[in-house]
Amino acid sequence: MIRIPSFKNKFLLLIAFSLVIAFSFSSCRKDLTASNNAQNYPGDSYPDLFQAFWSGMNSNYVFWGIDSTDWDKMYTTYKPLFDNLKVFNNANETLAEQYFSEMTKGLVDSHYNLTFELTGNSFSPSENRLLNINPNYFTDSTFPGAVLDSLIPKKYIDAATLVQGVDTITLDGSATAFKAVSGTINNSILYLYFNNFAISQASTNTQPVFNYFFSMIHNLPNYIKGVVIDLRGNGGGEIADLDYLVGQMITSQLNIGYTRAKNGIGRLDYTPWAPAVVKPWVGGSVKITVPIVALADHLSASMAELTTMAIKTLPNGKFIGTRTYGANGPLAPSVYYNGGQFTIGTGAFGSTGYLFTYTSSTMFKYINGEIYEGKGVPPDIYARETTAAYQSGSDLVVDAAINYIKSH
Amino acid sequence: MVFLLLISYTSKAQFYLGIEAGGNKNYLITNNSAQSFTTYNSASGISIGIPVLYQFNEWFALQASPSYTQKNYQINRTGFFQGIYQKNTNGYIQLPIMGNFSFGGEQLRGYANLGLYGAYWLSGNVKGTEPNILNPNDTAYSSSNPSSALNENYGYSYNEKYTFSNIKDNRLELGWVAGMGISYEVNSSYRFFIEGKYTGSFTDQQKKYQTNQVPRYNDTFGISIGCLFSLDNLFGSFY
Repeated sequence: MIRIPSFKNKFLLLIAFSLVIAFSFSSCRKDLTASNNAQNYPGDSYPDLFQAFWSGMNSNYVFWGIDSTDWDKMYTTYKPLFDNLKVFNNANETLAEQYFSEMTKGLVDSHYNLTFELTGNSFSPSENRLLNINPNYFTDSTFPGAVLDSLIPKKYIDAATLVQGVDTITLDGSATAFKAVSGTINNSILYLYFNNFAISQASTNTQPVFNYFFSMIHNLPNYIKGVVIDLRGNGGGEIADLDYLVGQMITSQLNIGYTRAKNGIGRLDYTPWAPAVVKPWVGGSVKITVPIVALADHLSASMAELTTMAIKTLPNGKFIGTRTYGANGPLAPSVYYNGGQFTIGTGAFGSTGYLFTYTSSTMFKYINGEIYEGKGVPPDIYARETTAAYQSGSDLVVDAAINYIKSH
Repeated sequence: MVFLLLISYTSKAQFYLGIEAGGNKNYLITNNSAQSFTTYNSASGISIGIPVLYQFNEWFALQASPSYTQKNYQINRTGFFQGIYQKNTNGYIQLPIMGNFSFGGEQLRGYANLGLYGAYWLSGNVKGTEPNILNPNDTAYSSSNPSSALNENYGYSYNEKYTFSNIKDNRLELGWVAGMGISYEVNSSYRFFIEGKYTGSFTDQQKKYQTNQVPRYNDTFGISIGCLFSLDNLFGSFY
């Protein structure tokens, strides 16, 4: 016969049963082991540096959603190799740098760069990739500089209008030559070249160039039938220059695409896409209705690509040249977006650490839905300088821009 | 043996159907120590359910409460990044199966629930503000350094449907549920109740999609009121 327990017994039974259940269920959860910030690992051994780097990349790298690199496979493949590196010495350092480079060589982020602070060596997956495709990829870069020095100011720009200068500026902590050229071509095209987006640092020699250009923009003479902004070889720089440059040629906000960042430590934790906009410059702007042409090439990167895409988005904008470098994810210090660049090994090696990883903080998607990271922005009109043309005194890309503007 | 004790049948077996509604507070249990100036906070939500209860005897019943339950949480940035946040509103269709143990008098009775639940992550919405890197405040540096991240770059405020990821999101949740409450029997046909309930998931909100993954669990504390109708007394005995 089954006996019904008393109220007291029922209550005790319930409490006991609940405790057993609660204990059983709570043990069903996995351990919430801290996911350490990459910078907080001690970094006093190669295995620890590997863990710091792998974790830092896992949480900070913003392109996992589109990158084909199997980061879990990198863990299983390279963890045992780093475990074998027992002490710090030259031979092990060479191996460690080789392993870190191999792990990252397929990454799509074309800003990406590893700097090994012990040796000063560095590794760029995009440079490695592009050189594998074309060993002359970077030697071709003699054209923009050479064309500018010997052709454009002397042959193309009307002598009476030529303004050019060179200043020394600081980019990423290094002293860099900042060159700028402006003037008119055939008395009908307003031309501007500069080699870095650091207009806020324009000084004695380059400020007059920008003063001339923007003065013309704000009071565009009727004889100017088009504007050419030459971004060939321009490696990028400050984001604020986008509004400063393109924003002075528009009077209403321009949506050029979208950005997204990480919002969690998971590999696929992303913010929603935020609209990327160019605003009319706060210091004043005018609506330029004549054709605006961006010249860009295979060395135009980062802000040069964003500016090219902004111009390409304008109803009167056009991109002439060759496919760009493909590094267009904007950067900020990692604390801003809990993602992007990070340093490992600061505990053992001091403030510069063992390894600095330079990588984008946000992913950029162009207004047409394409993500050009690692691919480059395709031109609207293909034009590329050749050795033969250069030797005969022609810049085929500027010629293409002149022809385009003439036809509009 | 315990189960046999619990379901020891008496002639008082009755079938109840009802409705309940309430509010809850959900905590996402995870570890985000790798994120600077970032906290995960609880958020309030609602729950609406249809409890079904089969009363075996005066002190034990089996209860199922299919419900729509929100399990919300909020990510907040702090310090220089104050104002950046994201509120995740997640709707689940949830089915708890519980043992209902009651005690007390004829009309006013206390009870405790204990059981398991399965839930399906039906919908999601994200609302928040993020700093928009390609919408800088062009005047932030004109007179002084920016006072906050949202002063440096304009914030982008959004309120949109969450897009589920087949790779990342685990939409099936299993867990356990425990609750306590008080019921008041108005007459043999109606019974009102108020109860507090805890549900804790033991499945990760994410699929196992990466090595060294830090799991995320929902802990939900709710309070609800409702009414149960005795179908036997309202429509006659089924037996």
